[in-house]
Amino acid sequence: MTLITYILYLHASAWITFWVGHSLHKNGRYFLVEAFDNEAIADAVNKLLLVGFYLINVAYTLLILQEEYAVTSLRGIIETLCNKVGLIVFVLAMMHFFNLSVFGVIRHYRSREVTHPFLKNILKIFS
Amino acid sequence: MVNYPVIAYIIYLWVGIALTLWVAHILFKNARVFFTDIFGHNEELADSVNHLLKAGFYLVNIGLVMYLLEHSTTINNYKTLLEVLSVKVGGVILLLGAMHFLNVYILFKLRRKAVTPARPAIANGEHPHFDKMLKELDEIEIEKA
Repeated sequence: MTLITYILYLHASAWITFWVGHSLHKNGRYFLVEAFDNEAIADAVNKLLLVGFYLINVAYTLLILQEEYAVTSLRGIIETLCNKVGLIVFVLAMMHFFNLSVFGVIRHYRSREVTHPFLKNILKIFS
Repeated sequence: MVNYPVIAYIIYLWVGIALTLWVAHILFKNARVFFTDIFGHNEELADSVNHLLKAGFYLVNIGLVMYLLEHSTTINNYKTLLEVLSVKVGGVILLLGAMHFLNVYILFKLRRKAVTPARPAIANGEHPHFDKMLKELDEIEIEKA
């Protein structure tokens, strides 16, 4: 039973990783083009973000794979599976919003003069 | 013998995910107008941001629906099944409602920020969001009204 859970879990998370990554890659492109005002850089950043997304997700999936309680019934399979996959999806959502806010900030300050010393240093990295 | 807990989980997951899809559909169909306003009628950017936020909405809601699935009640008849299910589904609907109002609030706030006249640049090292600037914004509001 535990083995079945693991197999289902790996399957589900691989599918989610691929599908969400693909969707964000496709829809986020124009947002990045706006943020950097440069298509080449935006495409490169988009690709890098996709790879980073895959890496973090696969690593996290594998890290939380182990289940300490023995799974003995169908109910147990559903509970374990949903618990783990739900956690992964929620963490993905948080990562996604963090990325959005970072690029939103870049987009916001690219067209304005920045006087705040800390922000100025941060933005130097991207310009 | 009927496997009640599994039936409860399947119905719960089905309802939770279907409701999430439905709320996201309604919310982001109507959010598009706000985004075109917020981004100065840049339709492509509006669509892009709309899709990204929709994906975020799906992820948060489906993630929480799945994560909060587990319950410890022993279900052995339809009465208990119904009771457990209604508590669980009620929780999901409350979550969706909270997320929905949060989104609507953010949309209104962003649009207001985009539609009101631009604030002056930072002067004399004063913080833009306090004292003077707030007073100026108030004056603009009074003039408008």
